[in-house]
Amino acid sequence: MNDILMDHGSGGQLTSDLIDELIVPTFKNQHLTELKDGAILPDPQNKLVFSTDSFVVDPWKFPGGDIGKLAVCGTINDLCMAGGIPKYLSCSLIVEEGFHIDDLKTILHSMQQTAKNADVSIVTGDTKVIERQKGNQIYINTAGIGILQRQTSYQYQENDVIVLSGAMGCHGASIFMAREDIHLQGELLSDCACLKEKAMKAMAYDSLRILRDPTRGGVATTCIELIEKSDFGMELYEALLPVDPNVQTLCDLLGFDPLYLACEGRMLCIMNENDAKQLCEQLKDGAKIIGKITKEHPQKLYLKTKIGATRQLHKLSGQPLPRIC
Amino acid sequence: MHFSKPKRPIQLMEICGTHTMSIARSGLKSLLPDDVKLISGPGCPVCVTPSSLIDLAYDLAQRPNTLLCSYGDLLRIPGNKYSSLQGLPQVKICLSCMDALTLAKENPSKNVIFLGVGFETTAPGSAIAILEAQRQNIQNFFFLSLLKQTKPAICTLLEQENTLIDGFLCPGHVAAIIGEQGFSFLPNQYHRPGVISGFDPEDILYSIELLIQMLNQDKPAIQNTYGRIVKPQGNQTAQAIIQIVFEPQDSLWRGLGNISKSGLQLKKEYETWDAWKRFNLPPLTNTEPKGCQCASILCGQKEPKQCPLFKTVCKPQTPIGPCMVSSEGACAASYLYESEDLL
Repeated sequence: MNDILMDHGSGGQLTSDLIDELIVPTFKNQHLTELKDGAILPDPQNKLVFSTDSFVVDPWKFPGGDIGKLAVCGTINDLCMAGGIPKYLSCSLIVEEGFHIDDLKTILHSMQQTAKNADVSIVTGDTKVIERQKGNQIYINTAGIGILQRQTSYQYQENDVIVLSGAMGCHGASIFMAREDIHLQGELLSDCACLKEKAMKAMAYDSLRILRDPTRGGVATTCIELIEKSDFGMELYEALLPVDPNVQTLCDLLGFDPLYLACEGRMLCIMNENDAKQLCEQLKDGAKIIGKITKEHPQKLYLKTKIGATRQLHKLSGQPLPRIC
Repeated sequence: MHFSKPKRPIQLMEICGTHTMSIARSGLKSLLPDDVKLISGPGCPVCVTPSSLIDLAYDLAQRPNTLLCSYGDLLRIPGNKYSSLQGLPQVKICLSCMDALTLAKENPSKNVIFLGVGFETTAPGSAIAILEAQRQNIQNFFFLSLLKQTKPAICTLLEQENTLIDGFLCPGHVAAIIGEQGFSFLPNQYHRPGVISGFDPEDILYSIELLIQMLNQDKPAIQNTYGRIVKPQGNQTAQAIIQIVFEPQDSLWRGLGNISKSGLQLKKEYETWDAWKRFNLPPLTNTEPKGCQCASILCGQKEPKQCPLFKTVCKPQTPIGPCMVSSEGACAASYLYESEDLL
């Protein structure tokens, strides 16, 4: 393949291929190769966590948030998922000529409010403007530094369980509805949220193995990434998967699978079952145990379906497109 | 769930792509008795549309002041001359024909052309859009009819030599329009049972059990387990609207060839909105990509894993044939949801 396709940005198989075959080999170093959400850097006093993310969401404003909130939550969440307590962010804006200043103010205010709520400061930044029609309104990159609180790893134990902190797919579904101007009865908001408090609750448990936020590619793709470098397999239980009824309706209508829709404020954690039960009670918001780690079928993810059958789940393939009927 | 034991090995065809996906997604095949086999039929509208449509649509999109509207899953189909319609700025994803009509009103300087693939399910909505275009005198909206009817295709399948289909899981959505009566030809003309089924795995399991029972008793009939939606006479308002706007015409099916009176074209009084006539377009031709077995798969003669391209070069990211492109295609369903070591 000679050209970048949209699917290279979907968070699925082609994204993995691009990272593994091109980006990591080019920049190869000890901090990069683990490919967690953030790198852990040596520092005389503390271990630092460092992460970056770019945001190109279209439309920039969506039910439940905007690109500013998303850009701050996204990097804060990546730092938390790497076991860090986020402290400082940078903010690089790439704005298309003609973008309204009032809209930019809305976005910056939303960034500041989100950062303040998480006790994080935006301390450096950059602004570039690109010519009219050479971009899509506004793109934001944020990078962030946090202090390492908890070292996590892929060292699972058999019968560890997987906790999901809330209903899956709300962000992906709400963006799709906003983009395609679809209206359904009932309110469907993005789950875009800062995970700092929830992550800190999870980090308090000794049995916590790892934390991840299931963004692009959804819960299924993220779960595969969590086991593909380990010696274990994973099973999810369809009957236990939390899905918002509005998201389910949209999926039924358009042929999407909630397991592959992005979340922007949900956390997956792997830990022992007793701790997981306590954590779910603390987290509330529909946090649930959705599956378990197994020695059978290493590096493969299976779903036990509601009718008692079993099927393998794969990484997201291609962008979800609405089907005809 | 315990199934009745079939008296002989049987093959059942699900005609609807949404059934194919539900079966694959729920892992339902792994629960069936060994001697009951499900095969996927030509019920995904994207899959049965010849790939020459993509070349025709691509060329059409190059004309000045043109906006092409399409359902999302048509965009990834590879053409013969061109890679696909994906990424062309003048191609817009629409969820219904009415969306395309709205786009035409918002862009009066553009010719807005809707790629009208689908079966009896999408035909009424398209007919309403065309009647609205007439009522509001919208002259820049055009419908490229690729609509197909289910019955002629099933008849063609059953009249093929060595046909292997013992019974049918009938499509719930199509039946909502044409009613139980729309499938009575199965027992009456072909001595085959059919069950009109909903799309939850439980609906499908129950429908399969009824098919096994009818086959065991050799009493083929049409039964309806989707009575909450499907009525014996169907949706007569929708049927009437289809008849006002459309008339049967011969139509080319991928895998099945040309089938007499199996398509729907705009009647003469609506030709102002007929893209075929307005843009003087050539008829579609049936050219398959080399090695692609979609044609045999759509007829239930082969399974996806019997195609040499399946999982080797033909994958959801880089599809060769339409059954891999559409999320409802038999190959995509098999690739995404069926694991060889479990089935």
